[in-house]
Amino acid sequence: MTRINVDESLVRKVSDLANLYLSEEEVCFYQGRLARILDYVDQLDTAQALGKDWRGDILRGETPETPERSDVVTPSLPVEEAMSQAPAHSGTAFQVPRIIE
Amino acid sequence: MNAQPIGTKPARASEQTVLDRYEPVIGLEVHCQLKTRSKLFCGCSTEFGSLPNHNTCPVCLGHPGVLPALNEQAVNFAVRFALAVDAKVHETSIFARKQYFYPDLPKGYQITQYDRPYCSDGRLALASGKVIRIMRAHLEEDAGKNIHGDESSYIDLNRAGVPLIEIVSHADIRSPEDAADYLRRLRSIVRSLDICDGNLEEGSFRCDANVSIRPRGEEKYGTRCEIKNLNSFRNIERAIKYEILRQADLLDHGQKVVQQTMLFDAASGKTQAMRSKEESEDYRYFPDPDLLPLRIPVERIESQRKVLPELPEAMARRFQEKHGLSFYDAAVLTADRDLANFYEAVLRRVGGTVPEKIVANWVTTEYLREVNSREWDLGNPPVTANELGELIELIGKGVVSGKIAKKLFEEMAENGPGKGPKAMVEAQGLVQVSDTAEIRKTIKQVLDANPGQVGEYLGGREKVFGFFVGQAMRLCGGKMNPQLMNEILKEELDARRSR
Amino acid sequence: MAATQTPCSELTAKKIVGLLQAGQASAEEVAKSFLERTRQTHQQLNSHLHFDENAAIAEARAADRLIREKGVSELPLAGVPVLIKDNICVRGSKTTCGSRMLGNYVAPYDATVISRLRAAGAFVLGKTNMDEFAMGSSSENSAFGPVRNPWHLDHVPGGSSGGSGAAVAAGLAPVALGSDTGGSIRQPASFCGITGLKPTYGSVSRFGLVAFGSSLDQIGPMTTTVEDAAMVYDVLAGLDPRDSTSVNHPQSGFAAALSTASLKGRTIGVPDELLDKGVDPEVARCLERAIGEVQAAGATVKKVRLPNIASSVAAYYVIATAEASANLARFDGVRYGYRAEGAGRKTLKELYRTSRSQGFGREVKQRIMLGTFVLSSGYYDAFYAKANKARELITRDFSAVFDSGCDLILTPTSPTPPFKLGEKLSDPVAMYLSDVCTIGVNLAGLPAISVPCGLTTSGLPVGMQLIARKFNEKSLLTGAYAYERATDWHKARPCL
Ligand SMILES: [Mg+2]
Ligand SMILES: [Zn+2]
Repeated sequence: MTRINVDESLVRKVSDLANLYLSEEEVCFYQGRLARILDYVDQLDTAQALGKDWRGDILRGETPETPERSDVVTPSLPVEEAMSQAPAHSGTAFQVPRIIE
Repeated sequence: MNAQPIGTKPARASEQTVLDRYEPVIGLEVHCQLKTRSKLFCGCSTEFGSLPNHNTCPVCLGHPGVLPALNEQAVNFAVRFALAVDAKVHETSIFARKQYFYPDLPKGYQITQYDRPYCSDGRLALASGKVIRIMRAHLEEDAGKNIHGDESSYIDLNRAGVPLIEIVSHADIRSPEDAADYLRRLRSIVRSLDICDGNLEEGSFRCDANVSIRPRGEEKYGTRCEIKNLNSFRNIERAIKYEILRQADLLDHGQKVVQQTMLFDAASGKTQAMRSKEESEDYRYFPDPDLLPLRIPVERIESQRKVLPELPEAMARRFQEKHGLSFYDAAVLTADRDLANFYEAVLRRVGGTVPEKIVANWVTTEYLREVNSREWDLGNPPVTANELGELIELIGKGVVSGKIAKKLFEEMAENGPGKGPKAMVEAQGLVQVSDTAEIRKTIKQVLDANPGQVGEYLGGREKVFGFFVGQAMRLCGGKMNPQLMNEILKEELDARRSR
Repeated sequence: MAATQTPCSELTAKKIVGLLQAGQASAEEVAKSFLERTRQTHQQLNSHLHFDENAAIAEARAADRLIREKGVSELPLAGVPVLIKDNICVRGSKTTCGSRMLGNYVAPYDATVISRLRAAGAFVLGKTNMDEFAMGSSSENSAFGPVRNPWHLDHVPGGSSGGSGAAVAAGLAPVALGSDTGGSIRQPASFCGITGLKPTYGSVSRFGLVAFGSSLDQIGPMTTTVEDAAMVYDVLAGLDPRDSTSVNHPQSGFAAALSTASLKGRTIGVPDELLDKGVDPEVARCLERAIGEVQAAGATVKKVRLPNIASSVAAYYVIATAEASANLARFDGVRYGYRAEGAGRKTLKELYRTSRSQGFGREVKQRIMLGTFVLSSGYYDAFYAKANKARELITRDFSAVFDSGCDLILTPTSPTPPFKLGEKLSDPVAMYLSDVCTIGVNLAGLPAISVPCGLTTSGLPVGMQLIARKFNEKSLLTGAYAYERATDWHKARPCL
């Protein structure tokens, strides 16, 4: 059994990885939700897991292989159009708060 | 033997003592931009230097709903690299998503290969004869660029999606010099293959180094640090040296090396921790469901093998076998594609008037000395192969002596080649004196002026011969054909013996 | 025109194409009559996110031009208006995915399905409401308010393609596109009393479909008849070089194949697991009758087993959320989409976190969290790897049933009839379990269709799901069509 103890620190760790800010109330909410879902998902253990190479190949026919395109340059998006969607930009660059390492 | 072909200053004493006690263990990760016309997963141009975001589309901007479509040529290039380093190309490899947030990574994940790379188990031989094992190479997409202002950073995604191969060595490298040699050779290979332009400054060939040290004789590896931001061969060596000393200093003072990412600052010559504490990154890799497995059948590998050009190792073998060069000279010349090309171009210009071995000597000593001290660009040196070839040809034709030629070359290096060696020789009146009468006249002068030394010579002290040579050369300003002079000097001395 | 004489709710794609072929209507006239009806109804249902009459008219005129250029006989969907789920990109139109995150996002390109529809003479009528990023089974998780079931306004239309389902059921368009990751076409089709086809994975390009679970997502038609579904599928299916997971369908001519459709001599498997426990008695009653109708039409029905289907919901929620957590990482407020107020003056980290926290709704964040967790270091094997193994087992279960001689598998589409708004919001697992009959199909990449098969005593629709082997849409559609002809359930329409 992979019973997971969904505590506050786990919720915070996950929200950190997912880049989500959670309020205290939300931490509490998701703690309950995740615990409930993971509890349910735990039943995967009861399925006799004997799959071998499961790497998604199953969806893709007998000899699946990724197609390849030829190396041809196609027109890019007009840069004004790219910029028109940006919440902030300067010239033709997207703008974000200064990145501090 | 010095494994570093181009410019190694002797280790400082402190370095030497550190290296006596500690053994550096170095592994390198190299990111090589592939010279495809379009990006790895979309049709945008890979051209360098366009205005920000002018080479972008919904795919490489990571817009909602887009999907990747793999560039066939990138796969071909990657296969060629694998063949060039004797790596095993895997019939099936898998693209994975590597997840992290950074503004230059539009999708929030990089499409790369993780536990199933397209090739593994390659090798690369250094000038020292040591073989560095290449653990793996994988195909992946490049990120964009962040440009930092005072209050804001600016994101340019022209580079996002450009194909890369990441080449990971085993931690087989044991000195900063070998690290630099490995990189030069790797660069030479990808440039020979014409799959990467190998430009460190523009970032088309980038290196990160994993460095640790362990007491000599110890088997267990020490804690390693990763150094990033190494954008010239010189800096790579400097950074690794600095890092070795830094780690040794910690251990000597009873402290521990902390695993962290270091940035090299070229100005101060120091490495600095990038983050105060290493937040252990959790990239949450998983197979990219948007791409099926990459299949590279044997037939494709063989068709790529057919288009491989002569590789540095084969070229070095040719130089040894056909030109009679030493292993070392051949290795030095082939460490860099431009250098090898330069040598071959000089050779063509010289056109057989001088043996290859001497030409090689000129390139590896005179030429490389100037390259290093003046930091010449091997791809575009101020003295061209033609000019150096012309100069060497003058020696071959007996127009100037080797000594004069060396002086001329220094001048060319200092002031530029001007109108070329031939013109310089004429303008400065440096044409070698090959007139026997004139040479005999000068030699007689010298012998007449030094009767004591002549006596000594005739009495059996043959060493004095060199003295006469020096005197005679001084008199004529070094322009005398040395071979002729030797002959005539002997004749004149012998003549005096019988008197 | 003739189009106005037929009530919209009875105008199928087939009839519209017939009108255009006969020169009795133009695309523009068809558009106007549907727009008229939409104007009256869509707010009640909250089925539409973008209802722009001018844009729709312009689209219809472009279709008329194409019809004039190419000739109506060359265009299998000449003059057919199509509503598009708002997670499919239409160039120049908002594509919000029902999310505040993309509230102002205007797609800079067309999804492949849009180009294909237009090239066939169809045109875009508008964009429909949905569960945010297709995450939900009730269309309550939209940042722009819940969709209502036209059969009963205080019930849900199902989800996530609830806007498409409600609109087609209410006669606001003959055809809508939906997307199906775990049942999101079939379950709302069932709840709204219409037909919904989830094609074989890879047969319809996903290029331009905002990804939820990339290995599960598939676009498909929602229509009032099987024939319309076949006509639209004929146009949608096909290899797209821009979608590496798309393949050339080995079959074609789906609509034409219906003329010889029959259930006679066919073997249909009914899995115990999906008909026994947990199925609402009213649904069970409808299904039992449907099984009788299928037998009456000449099919042999046999009990089959899908022993691992019980783990499908768990496996699905691990795989779909894992993929979603990566797919939704691109929404960071940098290049497009929502950026939190004042976030520009904060640090980059704050910009990311506040924008994502404010831009995504509760369910989406929940699934991102779950997906992030199952891929995180130390848990990958226990969850993600295991779920994929379960997926493999489920896939084998289906294959075994088909190998045992079954042409089709028959199940309820949903274990329950449409439920009330708010009824299942408190327990995520209860909501997830409402997809138990449909999820296995996505895990195995199979084609499946939901067709109406009855009404509950309170007059709510119930759907039956048929499942076929991969790339065997012909078998699926002919089976469904034969059932449809043998019954009248598809003719029932809500009174609005
Ligand atoms: Mg990498
Ligand atoms: Zn692009």
